Amino acid sequence: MKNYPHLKAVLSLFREDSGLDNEQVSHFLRQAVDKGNIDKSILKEEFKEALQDVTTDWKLIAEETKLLLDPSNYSSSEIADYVKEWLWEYVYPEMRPDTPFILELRDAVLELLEQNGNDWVDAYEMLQTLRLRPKFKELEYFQLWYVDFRANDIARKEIPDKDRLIGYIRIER
Amino acid sequence: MKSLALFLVLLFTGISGEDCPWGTACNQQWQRFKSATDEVNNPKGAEMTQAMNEKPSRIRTWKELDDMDADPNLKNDPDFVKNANDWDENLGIIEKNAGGNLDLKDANSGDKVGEIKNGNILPEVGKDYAPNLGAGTEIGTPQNGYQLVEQAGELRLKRVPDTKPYDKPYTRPDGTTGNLMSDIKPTNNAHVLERHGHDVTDDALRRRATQGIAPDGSTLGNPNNPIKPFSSKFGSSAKLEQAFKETMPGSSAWNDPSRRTQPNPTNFPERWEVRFELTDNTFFGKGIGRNDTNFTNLKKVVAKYEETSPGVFKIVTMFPEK
Repeated sequence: MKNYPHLKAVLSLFREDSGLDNEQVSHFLRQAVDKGNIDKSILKEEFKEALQDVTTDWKLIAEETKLLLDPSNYSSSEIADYVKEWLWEYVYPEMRPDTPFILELRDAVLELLEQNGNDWVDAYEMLQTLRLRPKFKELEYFQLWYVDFRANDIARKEIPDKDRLIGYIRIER
Repeated sequence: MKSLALFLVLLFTGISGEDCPWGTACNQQWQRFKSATDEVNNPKGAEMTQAMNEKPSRIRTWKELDDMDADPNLKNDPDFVKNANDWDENLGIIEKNAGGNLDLKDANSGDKVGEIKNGNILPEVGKDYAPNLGAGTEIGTPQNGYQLVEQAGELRLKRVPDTKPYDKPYTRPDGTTGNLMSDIKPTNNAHVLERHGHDVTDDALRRRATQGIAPDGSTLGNPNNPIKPFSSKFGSSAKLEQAFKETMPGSSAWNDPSRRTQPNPTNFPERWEVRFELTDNTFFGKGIGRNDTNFTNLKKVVAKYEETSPGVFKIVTMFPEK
């Protein structure tokens, strides 16, 4: 596995126990990029490469950067999805979906949840089902967060010790 | 003895007939207030009466609180009654909830804005002050460090920490003098008091540990699923001041390379962290984790600084840690 120094540097800023908030994290990241201490184009390359390389050990990266307090609770691919949640739109701002796409996604999620009645649905299973539709074949796990769960009466059940994931969802009745 | 005290209260603190004429609903409410024995037992009784003399509609507010059997510590607290009256006259509705606590609701939307529990108000998720909506209009005065604000037609609660204990001159380790408060909050990027101040309530810490929302409404990570960190506060203003002085530029900890470190000197050379631990039998404060039932007393503190220009350090945050 490659070292990915710029990627790791940025992830170290997102550590769970930093005591910072999103505004402060953005401030330090912006400052590092402006001063040339982090090269955004290199970050983009490292991010892309790390995601494509099947040997990337995301647990190790999470340990080294202290991104998660206890990475052992997560699988490597779950951590990769969490990293995407932080970085995807920063690295690929042009890929932020537009409102019609988000509304379509919301309707599709609600439709699938309705079909499942009161049963909890694993967000990963939901993702796989949605990806079967041409419109959502490129959908990322973290993009399910675009559906405003609260506003759409979608209840969420966390997986113990894996609170960075969506977990299970169903219609709130 | 009790009737003598009641007699004296009535004698010296009665509302004038002009403010609240005999036979009106206002006067009936006032009579009820006067006849309530808790008025005599309430050490703030005279202050309450003065508050009602100043603004008779506060009697109605007191009566409403009394009717809903609100916590006597709240309904007999003149500051709370004044606030409740201001809230009531400006879009706010106070109701008792199923848990026996009071809810503050927005009359326009019907949304719950906050809950008054254990004598303290705590903002509801999504009802914290939103800086992007402008300054807004303040309603009433701060209640346990939260100010009700109307922003864009909606009620929200803004964290307004108690800064009084820090508003004083002090001498820095280098011998220069300054105002302690100005150094604790040198920029808007610093949030020591807002998130870890001595007046942060236990419920606000629990909310941060279980829901990821800091006492000032800020979050880290996805706003729909914020990180739920170990959450701590200083036990008193004296302990916060001590922690600040023990870790500030020029302090022993600051000058000790084992205690002042840079988390990533290559990519973030402006970030510095200073740590200090108490060795006596005292604690800086307490904290709670997301799965904890009880608070833990904390002896350690970390202060995080930003070197804004070479040799100029400004605090970003400081909190007791495990």
